[in-house]
Amino acid sequence: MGERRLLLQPGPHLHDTLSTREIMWWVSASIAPAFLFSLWVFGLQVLWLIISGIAGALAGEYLVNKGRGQHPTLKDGSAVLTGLLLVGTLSPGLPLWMPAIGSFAGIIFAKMLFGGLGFNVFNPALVGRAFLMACFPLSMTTTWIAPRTAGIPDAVTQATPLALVKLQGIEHAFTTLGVNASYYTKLFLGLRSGSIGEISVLLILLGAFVLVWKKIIKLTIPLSVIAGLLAVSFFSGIPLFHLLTGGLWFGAFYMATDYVTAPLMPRGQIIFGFCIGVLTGVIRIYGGYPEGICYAILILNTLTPALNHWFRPVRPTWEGAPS
Amino acid sequence: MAKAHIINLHQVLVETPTATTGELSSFRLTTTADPDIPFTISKVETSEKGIVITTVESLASKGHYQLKNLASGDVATIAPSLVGVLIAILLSAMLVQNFVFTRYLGLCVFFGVSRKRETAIGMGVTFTIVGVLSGFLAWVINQFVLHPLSLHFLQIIVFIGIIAFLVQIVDVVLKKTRAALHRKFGIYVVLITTNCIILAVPLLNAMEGRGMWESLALSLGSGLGFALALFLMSSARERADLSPVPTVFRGLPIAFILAGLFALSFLGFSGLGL
Repeated sequence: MGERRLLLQPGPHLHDTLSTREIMWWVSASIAPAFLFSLWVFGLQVLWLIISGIAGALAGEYLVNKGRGQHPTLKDGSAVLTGLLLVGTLSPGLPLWMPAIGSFAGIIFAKMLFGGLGFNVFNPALVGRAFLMACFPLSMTTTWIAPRTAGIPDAVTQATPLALVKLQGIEHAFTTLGVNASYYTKLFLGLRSGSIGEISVLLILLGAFVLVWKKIIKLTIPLSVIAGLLAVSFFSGIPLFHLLTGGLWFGAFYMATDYVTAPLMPRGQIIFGFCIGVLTGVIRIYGGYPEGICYAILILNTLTPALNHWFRPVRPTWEGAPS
Repeated sequence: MAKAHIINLHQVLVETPTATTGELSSFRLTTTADPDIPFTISKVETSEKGIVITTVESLASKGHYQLKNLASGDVATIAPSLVGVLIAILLSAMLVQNFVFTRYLGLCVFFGVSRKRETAIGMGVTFTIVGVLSGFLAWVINQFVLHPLSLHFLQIIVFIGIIAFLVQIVDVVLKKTRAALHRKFGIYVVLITTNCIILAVPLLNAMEGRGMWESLALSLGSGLGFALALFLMSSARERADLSPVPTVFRGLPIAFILAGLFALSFLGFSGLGL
């Protein structure tokens, strides 16, 4: 009698018509408009940053594949997506080699050492960002660039709106920024300084629409994140400002919805998303950083295994199965 | 002089019963610790509640300050409320300065019992109880014996004695009441004796001269923070144990990498002004 081998792996085990590879490329494609917009307002170095980030991610993945003697997993698109998402969270004025370092560290330490795609506990792109933030805090926080609009010919450094609020307090910052009704339209369209992927709420919503239409993501997590942030920022007196700045939309739709590091069941997802939103607001208003969604998602990633355990589906008792 | 308190990073509110107007030059704001260096006051306004003083430098919401009215010579002290301080110490020890993830203390027990969620929760509870009791006992002995007799150099040895005494009690109680859990803990219950967190808490309390409630808050916060770290770590490790981790990284190495990533994400709490 042949030996029977059981494959023991963490969930999810469901199978769908859309393969992992297709999903990864769809997600990458859906974020493309936001990146092209950044390329337009911040200039050509955005392209080099993207290439650097993707190269670092691919190098990390390939190195571990080679070291373990595995079949290379470069073509499944997950490393490319990690590189892209990492660059999306970075400032456009960063030195060109930095994204490569970040995505290399993120891919190796957060993903490949845990066994590759599907086994990571933390979101590799955000680990990459947190890694860069811990290693190069100055470059990460002082290289923001003003968007190139009429009147400003070339790259001019300019603090992000949230950083200004943190540094100068709400009143001063609002005078500096010239906040009025049309300013919020500018925020929505993305004519402000900020990370490469986050600035245009409109284009992120467009990408998110594609993802929802292709049934790649569900709205449970993003909506809970936004609700959580609104709940906290309501107390700060400027909820609309908090809603439209920072990496909220990018994080909510592209980072928090990562299949591997988010809870599987709806109730867990709602708690996960809401806590991310609340924590983002708390870090923004009371914390040491101007923007907190990166750390909020990472911190809630640590809770994901527990949330999956608490809200695991239980068979109804009348079917008599122990679970 | 009337009561004064800090309303935000740059403003102090002086509650005056009668509407007195203040001038820019008539107030002097300093920290209690260093009354020689005054803050630069940029604006003094009169509102319905009292006088609002705006400073150029930012103020800490939990700081101790002195406000002197140069015209009348009155001095008002600004101090945070006890409950606020206790909550701040508690949350800070739990999250902002989590003993495991930001100070890297207590790692032997942390890695030893975080393999399974069940033992992690049990150890978290046990650890918190021992921590609070030893923190309290150490404070009593430090306050009423060591401090009056100027025996500060005996602190470490006395605190270790207190902790060993408490751990022995817990060990016996656990053995008699929760035999299964006691077996799972194995050596680690006794190892609490030499746990750095349990010893660090009374030493920190003694060094900073904290009162009873503050000491208790730090003990409880450090215990809860350790329990939280153990719980999160155990659920992540249960998942990592089922993953195809490279052979050389199985077990402890991947746990160290996980702990590093936890520490990286707990950086998000840093600078949280509580």
